[in-house]
Amino acid sequence: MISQDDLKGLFFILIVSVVSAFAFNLWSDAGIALFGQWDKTQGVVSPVEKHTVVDPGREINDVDAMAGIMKSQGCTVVDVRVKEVFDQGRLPGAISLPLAEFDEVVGDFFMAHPPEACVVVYCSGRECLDSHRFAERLLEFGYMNVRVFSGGFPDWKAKGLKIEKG
Amino acid sequence: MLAMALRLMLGVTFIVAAVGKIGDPGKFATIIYGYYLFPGWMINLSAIVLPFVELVAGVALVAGVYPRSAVMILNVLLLAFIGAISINLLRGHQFDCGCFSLAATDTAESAVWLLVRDIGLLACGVYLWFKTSPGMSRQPV
Repeated sequence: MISQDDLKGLFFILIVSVVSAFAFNLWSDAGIALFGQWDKTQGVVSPVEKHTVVDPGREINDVDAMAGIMKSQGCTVVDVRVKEVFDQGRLPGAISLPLAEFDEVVGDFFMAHPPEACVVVYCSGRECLDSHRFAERLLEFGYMNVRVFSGGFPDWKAKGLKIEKG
Repeated sequence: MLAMALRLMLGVTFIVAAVGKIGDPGKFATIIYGYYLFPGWMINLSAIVLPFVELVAGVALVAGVYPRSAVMILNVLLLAFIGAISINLLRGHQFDCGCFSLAATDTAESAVWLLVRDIGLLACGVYLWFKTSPGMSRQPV
């Protein structure tokens, strides 16, 4: 049986928990927004941390728009997934620059692409933050025109558009 | 003696689990999202509040402050965890997108292990609930 004392204890524990949780979240550097971005139709999902790398304004959310940008603007398309996955299938003309190898590859990339170059980064879809992380690093490096294709390779392939392999 | 040992074990387990989640609420929110069971508005709020419920209830259980209430909360949490893991195991959903670090739940084997562990903890919690008489609850200092 649940006694009145038990209910008093429940109330006490829950109130202390909720108050400390929100106070800590507000104060902590690792705090997150009260509501995250968990709707895949809106772009890459994320908990929206205080120091998030995700910038929704940078995202290209539509495959047709991505295809149009590739055709008309001549952007450099960067695939930041691991090389083995890149070899199994990628967007046409994409170059492989895995996020984990950023420090090793950025020098060569910088030599080949001026900071004002248009760069579109993608990874494995709307649950993948690697493209945003890579984009953030490029921006720190001085690149000004960096976009993220949020749907990544899965959306491109699902649309039945041409892919490259090998 | 056994009840005291189980109280310490259950309380400390939840305290340790809570500390990791409190340190990285973004990662915990991503893990909750990875279950594909909860509406978007609930995910961050749960990631912020749940670890503190675990922490405070764990400390209360160890300290003997409202131990019955604490064990009741921990049992409800364990039931919820068991339910969520079971549903995902039954529908064959694995969190293997390769983008998130989803603790130990990225394979079916580790999810089964988590399920067994949680059922064991729940058994301890139920035992403690019956072993702790209502009169044992203390007022907070």
